[in-house]
Amino acid sequence: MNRALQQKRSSEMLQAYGPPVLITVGLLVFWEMSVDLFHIPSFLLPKPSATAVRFIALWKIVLPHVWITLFEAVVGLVAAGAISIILAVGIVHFKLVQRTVYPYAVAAKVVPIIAVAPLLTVWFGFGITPKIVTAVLVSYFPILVNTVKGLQSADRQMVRLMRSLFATKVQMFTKISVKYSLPYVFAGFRISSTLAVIGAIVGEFVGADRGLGFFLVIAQSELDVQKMFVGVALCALLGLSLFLLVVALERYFLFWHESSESSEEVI
Amino acid sequence: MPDRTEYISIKDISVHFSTSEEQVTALEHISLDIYKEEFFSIIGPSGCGKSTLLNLIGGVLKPSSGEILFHGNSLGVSGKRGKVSYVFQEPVLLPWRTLFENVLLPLEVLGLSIPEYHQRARDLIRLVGLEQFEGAYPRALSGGMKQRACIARALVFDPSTLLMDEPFGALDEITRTTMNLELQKIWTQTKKTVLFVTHSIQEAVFLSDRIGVMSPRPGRLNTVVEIDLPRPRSIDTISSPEFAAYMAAIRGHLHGSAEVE
Repeated sequence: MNRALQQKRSSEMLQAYGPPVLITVGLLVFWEMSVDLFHIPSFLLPKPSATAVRFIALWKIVLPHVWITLFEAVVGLVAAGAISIILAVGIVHFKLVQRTVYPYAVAAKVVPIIAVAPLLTVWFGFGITPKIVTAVLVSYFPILVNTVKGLQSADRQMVRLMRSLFATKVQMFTKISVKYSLPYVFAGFRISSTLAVIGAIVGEFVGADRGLGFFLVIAQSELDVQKMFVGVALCALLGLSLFLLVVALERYFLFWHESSESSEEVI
Repeated sequence: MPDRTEYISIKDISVHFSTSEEQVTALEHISLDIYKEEFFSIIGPSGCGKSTLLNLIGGVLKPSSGEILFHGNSLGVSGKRGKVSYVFQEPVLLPWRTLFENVLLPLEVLGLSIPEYHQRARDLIRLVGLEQFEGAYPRALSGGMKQRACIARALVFDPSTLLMDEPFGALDEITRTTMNLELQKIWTQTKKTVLFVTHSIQEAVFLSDRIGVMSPRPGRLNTVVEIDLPRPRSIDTISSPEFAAYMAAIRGHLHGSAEVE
């Protein structure tokens, strides 16, 4: 019995994770072989194996940069979340806030972050503050829009039931609206988690002495393509980790939601 | 039969809604006395204002004219709080709460979350036959089970009046008949005044002491039919000739010709 169950589970795992792993390995092998086959010079496109070797060599140097960028992105994401959720609650409950704040929130999103970043460096210096600010500016919007939508998506019959019990506005909010909004809030956080990393790196491009963005700028000035590849790979890993962290939190808090019912879910 | 003390008095109620183009009369000059611990059904075609009438009694809607008295008193919001309870057609439960926690929700809203009522919640869950599912989440429950849970939730704060708005309308017929039997049992044991809105003549005749027949545009109360069938009623009651006669009479009233009586 138990063994049959284990076998079933491992075959399910194989079905779920087999194809993506296979494709990744296949692509890396193809890349590795193409560089040799078409005689691509390594200063244009280094082999994955060479990049991996370089990564191990650079490990000690690059790690502090990773931590800095991770810190900026996480703080930026959390701050963006806090600000967006507070604003969303205001927008949903007060017409005045909706009319005054919402247009600015949209307008602020339209301004390209790369245009604002130098200004932020002028205001906040070369420390981590302007990077956190760019991370917030890039990532607040999806959380804000989704939370506004989510807070209005409580089950109508449930709202009717609460009205029939003459529930107060606070009870309606804490017992009903907040929980019904969570799937939307998490959808926002998923998008914003990757954006926050981008924001932090853009901030570092403009002026920094630490962080992955800084590491990339140095690598570029040295025309060290292998080093740039190490930086790019780490940026991707960072964004992916933050995204998976959000997904894990979502699984934990939304155990009751339909989306967590099927194992077939696309993360 | 319940005693004939009037409990809810509906006195010459009219309700008008104004849309941008016209004024719609949802209910017109309705007067009706509901007795204490009575099972009263309201039947009528769509758009005759059945639900509106329930909402007036529940206090979530105000009449344009007329008044509703409880025990001779016109109750404000604070007076109605905790006295009336709803069961809707859709059996909505909060998906992140277990069945037991869902049943406790009204207690939390009304500030009654005390051990005495928690025990009551357990008793009610047993009464609706779900004691094995206390810790289950709603997605594990069938439609009929969810509706049973909603009935337990509606009764948990011991309201005097239960307002049921087509509670079994979304269920298949077999489940529906089972639920009718269950509801009769629950009503006999809990002694509530029940106002029951339905589209089903059979359901109305089976459950009710009296049935109010309504007609649409504008919503009027045509007639009130007393159902004098012995209780407890069973599946066999449904196939009795008296039952068929009552059904024919109600059908006649609904289609505007009373000669079948």
